[in-house]
Amino acid sequence: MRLALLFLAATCMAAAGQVHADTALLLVASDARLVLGPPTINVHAGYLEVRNPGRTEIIIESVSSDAHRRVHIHRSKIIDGIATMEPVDRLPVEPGAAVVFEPGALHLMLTGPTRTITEGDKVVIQLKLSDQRLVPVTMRASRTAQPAHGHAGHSSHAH
Amino acid sequence: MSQFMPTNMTSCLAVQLLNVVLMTIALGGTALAAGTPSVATDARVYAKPKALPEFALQDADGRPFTNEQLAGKWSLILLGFTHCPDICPFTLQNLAHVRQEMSTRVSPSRLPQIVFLAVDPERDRPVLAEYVRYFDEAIVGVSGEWSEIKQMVESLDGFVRITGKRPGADDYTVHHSAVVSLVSPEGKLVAGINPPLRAGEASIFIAETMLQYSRKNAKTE
Repeated sequence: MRLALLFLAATCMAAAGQVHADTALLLVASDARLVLGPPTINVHAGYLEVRNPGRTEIIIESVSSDAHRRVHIHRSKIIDGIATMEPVDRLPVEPGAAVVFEPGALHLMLTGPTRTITEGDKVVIQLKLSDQRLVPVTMRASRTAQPAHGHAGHSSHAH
Repeated sequence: MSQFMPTNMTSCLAVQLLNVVLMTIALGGTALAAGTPSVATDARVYAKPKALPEFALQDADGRPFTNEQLAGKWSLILLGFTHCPDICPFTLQNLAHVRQEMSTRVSPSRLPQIVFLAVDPERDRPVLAEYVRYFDEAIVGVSGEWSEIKQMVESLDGFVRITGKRPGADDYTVHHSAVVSLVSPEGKLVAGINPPLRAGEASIFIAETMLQYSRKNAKTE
């Protein structure tokens, strides 16, 4: 009996260790906000900071939202005074580094809202990585593009 | 102190003075070369402000918006489109802050109106009124027929192009110049200010440019 219990405990500890390895931090997101525009416009911008605390490069390939039909990663550019936007299909986040989604630069374009979103509401987006894993991030809806003081919207998961 | 300074000290002072002058010119950029504002702003001040040609657009409520609506007041005109998620709303918010900041520097009668020239008439016109009101009640939304828009954009030394447009699809791309144009009460293009617009700096620059223009204008009358 004692041996069985010991065996069970050892198995559990091994399993816990494995779970711990699986849920090690992949990406750390902060200042995640969904910027609302006029209600007649079905286009929202998303801004956040995504940090890679690990030792290997992580690539974000796409993003989805629980409140929008489509999400695109875009980069705004002003070249020779001309404003334009280009899609980003593959976004590497180097180990130890962060990518910042901010006005006038990298941003999420979320279109086709599937529900009414008002200031203060939470929207969950999924960052889909090149290895198919998903990283959920909670964004808070805001009228302003400026980040809140401190951190608003954290998530660090692995699946 | 001796009446006559030693040669090496004179040279040293001359060099220091030259450094200060050169640094001031570098910080002021083309604006200083044109003899206007003191803050470092990425902008172009027209040595000879150019008169805008006649144009015929409409405001968000469908009323005519022509040279008459620019006459008698200063205007800040920016190009954009309502389905822009990033630069346009951000610039509109910034401009509203600039105007608020300017209200502490100029009298209400000299406060510029903000004109949002919507360059994607197909998607913009049905939603323009509500769009501009969302950012600030004082913003005037303007659009029109494509040919009129293009003419107005070119008269502001701007650029607009729509690519990827297909029947039935609304995911096309609108490219447009990002400069904010300062137009005088006489309907002349006085300056173009490049983003990003920082409220403090931009409000000082615009107020000073307005003042310099008004002084020059008074001298020539």
